[in-house]
Amino acid sequence: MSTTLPVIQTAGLTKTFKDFWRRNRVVAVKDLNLEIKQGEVFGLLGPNGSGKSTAIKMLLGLLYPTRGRISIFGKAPTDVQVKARIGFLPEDSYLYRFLNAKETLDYYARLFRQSGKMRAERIEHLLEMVGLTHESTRRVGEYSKGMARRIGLAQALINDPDLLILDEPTSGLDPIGTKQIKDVIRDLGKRGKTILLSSHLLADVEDVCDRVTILYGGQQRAAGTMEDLLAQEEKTQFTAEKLSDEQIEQVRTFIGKFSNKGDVKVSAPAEPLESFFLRIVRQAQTANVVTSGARAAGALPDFLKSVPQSERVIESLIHAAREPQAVESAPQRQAKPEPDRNVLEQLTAPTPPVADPEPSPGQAHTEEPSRRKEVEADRSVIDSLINPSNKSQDDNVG
Amino acid sequence: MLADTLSALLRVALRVGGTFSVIVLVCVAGYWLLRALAPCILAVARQTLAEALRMKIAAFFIVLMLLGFWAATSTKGDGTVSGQVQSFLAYSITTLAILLSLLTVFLARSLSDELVHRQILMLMAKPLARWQYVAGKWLGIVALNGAILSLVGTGIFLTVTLYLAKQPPSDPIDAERLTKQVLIARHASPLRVPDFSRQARQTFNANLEEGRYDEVENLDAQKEIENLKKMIGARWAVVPPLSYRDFEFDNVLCDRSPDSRIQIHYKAEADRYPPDEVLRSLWRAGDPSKGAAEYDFPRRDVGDRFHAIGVPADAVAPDRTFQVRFMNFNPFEGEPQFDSLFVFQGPQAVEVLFEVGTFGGNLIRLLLLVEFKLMFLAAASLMFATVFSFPVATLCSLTVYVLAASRSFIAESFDMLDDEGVAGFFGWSFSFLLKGLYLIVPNFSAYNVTDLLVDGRNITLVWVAHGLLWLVGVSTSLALLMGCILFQRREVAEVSV
Repeated sequence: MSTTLPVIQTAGLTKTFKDFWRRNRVVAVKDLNLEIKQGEVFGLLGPNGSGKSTAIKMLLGLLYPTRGRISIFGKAPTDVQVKARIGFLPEDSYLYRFLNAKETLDYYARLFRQSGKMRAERIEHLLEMVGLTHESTRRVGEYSKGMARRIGLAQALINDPDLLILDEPTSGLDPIGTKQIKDVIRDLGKRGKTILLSSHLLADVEDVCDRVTILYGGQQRAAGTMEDLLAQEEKTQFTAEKLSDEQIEQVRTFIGKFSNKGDVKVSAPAEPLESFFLRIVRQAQTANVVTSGARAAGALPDFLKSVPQSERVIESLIHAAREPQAVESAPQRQAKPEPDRNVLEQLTAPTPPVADPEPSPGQAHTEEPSRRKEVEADRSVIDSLINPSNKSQDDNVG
Repeated sequence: MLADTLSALLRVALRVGGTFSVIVLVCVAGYWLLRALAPCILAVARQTLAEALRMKIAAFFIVLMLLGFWAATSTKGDGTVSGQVQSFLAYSITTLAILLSLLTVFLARSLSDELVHRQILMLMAKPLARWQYVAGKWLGIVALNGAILSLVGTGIFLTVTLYLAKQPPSDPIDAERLTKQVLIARHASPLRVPDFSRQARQTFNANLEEGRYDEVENLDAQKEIENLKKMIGARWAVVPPLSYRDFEFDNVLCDRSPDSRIQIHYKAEADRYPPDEVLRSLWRAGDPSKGAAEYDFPRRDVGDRFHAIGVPADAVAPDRTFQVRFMNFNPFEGEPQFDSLFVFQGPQAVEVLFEVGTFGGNLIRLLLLVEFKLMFLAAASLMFATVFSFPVATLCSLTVYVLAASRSFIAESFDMLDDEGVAGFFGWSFSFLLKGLYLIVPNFSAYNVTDLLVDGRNITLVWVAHGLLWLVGVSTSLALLMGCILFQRREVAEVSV
C-alpha cells in the first residue's frame, strides 16, 4: 500500500558540480541515503555549504543527480503529479516584485489548477494566517524580507501539500515569524503531513523535528531521532517549584551522595528570550500600536487542518466498518470523527512522541534520557561540526 | 456626415468580417481548449502579460509607436492625398513591425531573468511541466503582440479612413487614385509571356548553320541559347513607332458586368521624349473575336511612371481571358506623330488588376503575417533564453531577426562572392554557414507585404496560409521544440550569470 512507502527515499545520492570543461569542481552531496516516512518532521542540519540546499533541489528535480536514485511518493521528482503534492519554500522568497501578495498567491494557485472560488478562499485564509491581510495589495517588492518570507510560506501551503519542503524557513524572520513557522510545522506534522526542513539554526530544528540528518561536506555525518541524538545518559535533571536556600542546600547535599564527580548545579530556570520577546510584542499588539509590517498572525487555515487524503481514506474505512449505513461523507473541514486511534496508528506511519515542554506547576518532573538505539556520532562532535564557534550544549545543562 | 461615416464603417466591417470572425473564433476556441487541457500554460501566459504591462516594457514601446505614427501622419508623400496615405501606411507599418520585433526580443528575456533571479525555483517545484512553462511564456508574448497589433491596426485603419482619406484631394485623379488604387485590395492577373525558348533555339541553330560563331568547339550552347532568349524577350518588350503589341492575360476572375471596372496598370519608358515630355498612345481593350466588348483609350502619359486605365469589365472574354493591344501612335487629331520607341520592362510593366477585397481586409491579412513573424521571433528568443542569460540571449535573438529580415539581400550577395583563392575559400565557407543557418531561419522578406498594401494589391489568403504553414507550423514549432528540449535538459537551480 502507498502508505507504507517512504515519502522520500534516496539511495547513494551524489551531486558533483562541474566547470566549463566538464571537470569536477566540487562534490556538493555525496552518497546521501534518506528515508522519510509519512507524518515525519525531518531535519536536514548542517553548516553553510554542507549540501542541504543542493540535496533539496535534487529532491525537487531542480538539479539532476550526478549519481544515485531519488523517489518521492514512489515516483521521479520531476513527475508533475508528484509536484502537485509538494509545497516548497526556498532559502529565499523569490517573488515577483511587480505583483502584490494576492496576485502572487493567485498565480501559484492557478498552477495547481484550483478553481476561482477555492483560490479566493485559500488566499484569504493564508494571508490571514501569515498576518498580511492588510498588506495584501502592496507590491511584494516593497515588502521587508520577513514579510516576503511569510508570503513564501503562504505559497508553499496554497495546495495543502502532503509533503512540505522548507529550506531555511526562518531565515530573515523576526521571532514572531519564527515561532509562527515552528507552530505551523508542528501543527502540520501532528496532522500527518510530511515535512522536510533544512536549517543551520539548531534551535529551529530541535524544536520541531522528529528526526534529523546532519550533513557536512556533502556527506551524512549523523542521523537519528532527536531523543536519540540529544539524550545525555550520564546526567539527570530535576525541575521543581521554587525552593528556599536551605531546601536547595539539603537537596544538593542529598544528591551529592549519589554523584561521584560532585558537579551538582542548582539555579533558577531563566525564561527563554524567545518567549520573553513574544510576550512583549503581544502586549504591544493588544495596545494596537501602529505598524506597517506584519501583524498578529492568524491560526492555521481550515483547509490545512484537514487530514491527508491517505488518512481520510483509512478513516472512512474505519467509519464505514463501524457504521455501514452511513451514506454521507463528512466534509473535510468538519471536526474529525473520533476513530479508533490504535487502528489508525497501526495503519499509518507512527508519529513520534512529542515531549511536553512545559510540565504543570507543582509537579516534579524527572527526565530520564531515553536509551540510544543507534547513536552515530558523539553530541560534542555534532555540535562542533554544525557550528565550531558554538559552546558545547553541555554547559547549559543543569 | 456621421451617419455616412457610420454606414461606411459598418459596410467595411461586414466586408472584412469574414477574416476577422475566423481570427476571433480561433482565439476563443484556443483559449477554451487551453483552459480545459492546460490551464498552467494560461497561468504562465497571464503572468508574462502582467510582467510586460507592470514593468512598463510594453508601455515604453507603445509610446515609441505613437511617436512614430505621429511622425508618419505628418509625411506628405508626393503632395497628393493618396500619396500621403501611402507614406503613412508604409512608415507606420514598418515602425510597428520593427518595434514589435524589439519588444518580442525584450519580453523573451523574462525567461532568463527568472532563471537569474531564481523565481524559476518556485515555479518548477509546482505541477508545471517545463514545456508548459516555455509554451506559456511564448503564448503570453504572442498574445501581447496580438493585442498591440489589433489596437494599433485599428488605429491605422481609423487614421486612414476617417482622417487622411477625408482630406481634400489635390485633383479628381488623386481622389480616384485613392479609392481605386490605394484603399482597395486588387488582384493582378498574370501576363501571358510568350515562351522564347523555342525561338531562341531556332535562332541558335540558324546561326550555327550560317557559321556566325567563330569557335564552335568552345561554344557553350546552353549559355548562348539563354542569352538569345533574353535578347528576344527584350526585343519583345519594345514597341517601335507605328506598330503595336498585344498583351494577353489569363484567369481574370472579375465580375464581367459593364458597370464594374478592371484596371490596366502599366509603366512605359521611351528612348526619347517629345518636347512636352508627354507620351501619346492608344490602348485597345477587349477581343471581340472571343465575345468580349472592345474599348479604345487614347492616352497622354508622363513617361517612366505607373498609370492605370479603368476598363469596363465586359472587355473580359467569357473564358476569363483578357487581351489589350498597345499601339504606338498618336491618336489625337491635330497633334504631330513622334517616333519614340516604347519599352515595357519587367513582368509588372503591364498588368490587369481587378478589385477582390477591401483595404480593411488587406490590412488584417498583413497584420496576421506580421504576427506570424513575431511568433517565430518569440519562439527563437525563448529558445536562446533557455540557454543564455539576458544580454547574450538578446543579442542572439537580434542576430536571428537581422538574418531573417535580410535573407533575400544576403542570398543575393552569395552570387557576388569571389570563388577563387583564399577569398574564395572564405566566401565558400561563409555561404556554407549562412545556407546552413537558413535551413532554420525563415525568410521574413518573403512575407513583407507592406508594398502590396500601399499599392492597393490583394494580400491573398494563400499567402497568409503559406506564412501560417512555414513561419508558424515549421519554423516556430521547431524553435519551440528546441527550446523545450534545451530547457528540459537544463538544471534550473544551477547558478546563472
